[in-house]
Amino acid sequence: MSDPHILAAKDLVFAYELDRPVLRGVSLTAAAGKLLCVLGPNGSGKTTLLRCLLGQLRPVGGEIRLDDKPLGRYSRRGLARLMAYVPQTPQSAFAFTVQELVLMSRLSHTGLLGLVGQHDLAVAHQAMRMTGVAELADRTLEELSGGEAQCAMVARALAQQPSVMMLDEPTSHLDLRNQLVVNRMMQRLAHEWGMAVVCISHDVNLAARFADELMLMRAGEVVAAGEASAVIREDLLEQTYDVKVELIPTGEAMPVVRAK
Amino acid sequence: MDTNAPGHEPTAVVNFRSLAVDLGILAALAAGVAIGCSFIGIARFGWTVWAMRLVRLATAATVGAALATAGMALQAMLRNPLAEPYILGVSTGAGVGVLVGGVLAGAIGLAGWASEPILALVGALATCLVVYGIAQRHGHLDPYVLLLSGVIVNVFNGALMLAILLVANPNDILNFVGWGMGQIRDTTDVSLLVVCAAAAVAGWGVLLVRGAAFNALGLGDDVAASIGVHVRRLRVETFAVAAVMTAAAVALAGPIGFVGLIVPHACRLLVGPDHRRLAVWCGLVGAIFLMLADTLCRTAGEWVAVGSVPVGVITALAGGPFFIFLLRRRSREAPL
Amino acid sequence: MKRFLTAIVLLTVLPSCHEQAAVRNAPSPRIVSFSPAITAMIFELGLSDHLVGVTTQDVQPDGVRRPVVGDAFSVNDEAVLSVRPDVLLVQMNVDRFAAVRRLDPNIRIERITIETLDDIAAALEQIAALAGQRQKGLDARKTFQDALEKVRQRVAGKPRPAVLFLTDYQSLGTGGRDTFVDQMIQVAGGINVAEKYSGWTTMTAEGIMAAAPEVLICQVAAGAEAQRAKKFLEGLKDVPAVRDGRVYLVTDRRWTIPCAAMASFTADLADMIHPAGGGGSHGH
Repeated sequence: MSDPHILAAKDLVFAYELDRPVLRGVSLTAAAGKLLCVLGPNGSGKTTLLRCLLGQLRPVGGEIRLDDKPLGRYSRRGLARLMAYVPQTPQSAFAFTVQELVLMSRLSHTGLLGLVGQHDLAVAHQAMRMTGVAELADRTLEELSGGEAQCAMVARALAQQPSVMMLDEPTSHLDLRNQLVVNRMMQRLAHEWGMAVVCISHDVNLAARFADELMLMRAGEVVAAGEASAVIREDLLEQTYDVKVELIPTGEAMPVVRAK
Repeated sequence: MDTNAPGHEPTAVVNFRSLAVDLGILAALAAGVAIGCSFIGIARFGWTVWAMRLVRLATAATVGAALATAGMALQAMLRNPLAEPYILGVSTGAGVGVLVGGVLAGAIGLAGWASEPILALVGALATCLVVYGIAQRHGHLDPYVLLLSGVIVNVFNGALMLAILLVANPNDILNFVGWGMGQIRDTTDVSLLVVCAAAAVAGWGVLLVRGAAFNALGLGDDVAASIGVHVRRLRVETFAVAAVMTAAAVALAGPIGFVGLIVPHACRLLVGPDHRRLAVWCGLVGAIFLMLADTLCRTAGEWVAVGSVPVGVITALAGGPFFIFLLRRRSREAPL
Repeated sequence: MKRFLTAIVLLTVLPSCHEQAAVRNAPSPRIVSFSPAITAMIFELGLSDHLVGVTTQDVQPDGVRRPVVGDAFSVNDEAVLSVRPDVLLVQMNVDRFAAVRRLDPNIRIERITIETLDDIAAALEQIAALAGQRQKGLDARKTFQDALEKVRQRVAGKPRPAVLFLTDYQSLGTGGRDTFVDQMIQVAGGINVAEKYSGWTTMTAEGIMAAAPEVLICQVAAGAEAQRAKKFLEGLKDVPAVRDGRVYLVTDRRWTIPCAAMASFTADLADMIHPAGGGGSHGH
């Protein structure tokens, strides 16, 4: 019997304008308990793919199934209880504190007016503890460092109690230490908490090191998908990024990729 | 318990009890202000005078609440602190309505077929429909495009009004300038007041319920959508509600400035950014503010040997310095 | 197509030819009026032949279409010059006409202030004099002042009730001291409740109640507006004028255009303030 697939997309086609397709038949499977990293150059359609998976864009071709039910059959609220999204840059137009931001995610679980109760508070606190921002609960986003803010946004996503987490280049603006922190956290979410985590990554090495599965994309198509050892190959990487690469062996499981 | 960094108070959670307390206290305050002001005035007290003052106070409360809450909703919907109710074209639309129905109709002999408030209402709503028509795309409202559409329509209407004024006699022009400053008339029709007040209260209720969604909107459209907010529908709904509430306000009192922009900001400085709390505060603070301003208008005229002072003058002159005070006080408290 | 174009050209040129005739043959001095009040007086003096230019708001009872040379705010210099005037009669600041003066220094610009009844009398004489018909002016002035005197005598010795004249029922505008409304009320045997204010101003309903006028006149447009005004005014139950049924609505626009007709309006006002045997409201 195959592993339980939570989010499955098949042959997705999407175009913003009629004659310029952004996705040309992309298929993807995000399984529970696994961290999937999507890699590719700018403009390869990664963010568009994410937005289709979230149900924000409607693909012109192909289908997406969540728990074996077509995405379109879920209500907005229902979808919000299953999938959560962390954007690339944490932003809040209004001066809310971290706790207030995290509590906003409980919207799909609360009633009229979105008023929260004890249970919602407990979930929020747990989410903040998990990402290490519990002590920053009363600060606003502006007062936090980049890493802290990103962790706060992950906590916010966690408070939705989702089965699927989607993150869009979560570490692109972070320093070395925080990159590790976030990547380790994503791994924990997948392995310890059984979530299906899909992460668009800009860093091949980090993705190779932490992800259970990788997917290489170029110009709206999948170049390769599978376990890290199968995907991190010179020819595939060169095809994806259009640059010569060399794989430098380290003592670890995965080599370091360097552009030549 | 969470440890608090110095200078930070623990975040109060907005729940049913806190909202009810806010609502109760502010409503009581508003009622107190209303009753108190109904005893202030220059005419000798009597039942007719009292009834007249209560109608005028009810008008002021409706207009203040409608403008403040609509302003809050637009600032949230557009994520723009400079947004205020008249960006939708309501005030200039009302002006065009008043002029077309008054001056132009007079020129062709159809003078006086509808009262000023009705003309204002029709002009305002028609203009909002035009702005929506220009800004929408497949039923979707982009904030940037909406702002620009409002600006363009406002400019166009302004030119239209000037053009109509070319054929107006000085008396008409004076009257129109008086209307344009915004004032609460004694000639307000009670049935119109009831309709506008009902629209304002209903709109306020909708905006209160959408408060949590407005909060989420601050995180960005895609994050808000992922939380479960129907962003597209929310924008159109907010536009419609704000348009109707503002049109009701402008129909009753002309384009009173300042309330829709500053009251939401002042409330935000006082109670923070949560839009559920803000809806309650904006509505009631807006009502109280305008009731006080109008009472001042009714009585201040005597001091400066003028018959009456337009309330739009008072709101700007009094509200500006107060808001500066609030702003300065806050910036002293905030950490550097 | 050609016939269509010819028709268009003829239709635009012909009317202007007609109006050009009336204007072309105007006797000297050629007068341009920049004020509805002044225009009204020119017609009343029988000097309309001299009139070659008017503003957008002027009423011209003789049916001749004269060129429009401006409005309450602006002066169309070219239009003014195109009618070749000798005299401009204006109420506004003469600096507005600096350009016209520069282009044709021969044009005389006379500023005539018309705020009170006395101003009207003086203006009648002055306008006629400028047209070279001083005697007509003196006669009109005498007729005007005699008519006013007649009203004064009619109401002499009678007790003066408090009177309020509203120019608009929505803005509740009225005339205070130094306006012709104030003077009309005085001549007609009343006391203007708004005389504590200077110039034109607006009232509030409470202000009206506090002032407690015994006679209330309101200027309205005819039709639905008159109904609405009536409804509002009759709602002010504490006001003596309303209680005693002495509320009058007037629809003639000329009540607020100062000209010789003011004398007859003042007489009408006296009838309202001091009715010959019994009150009752009626419109004019």
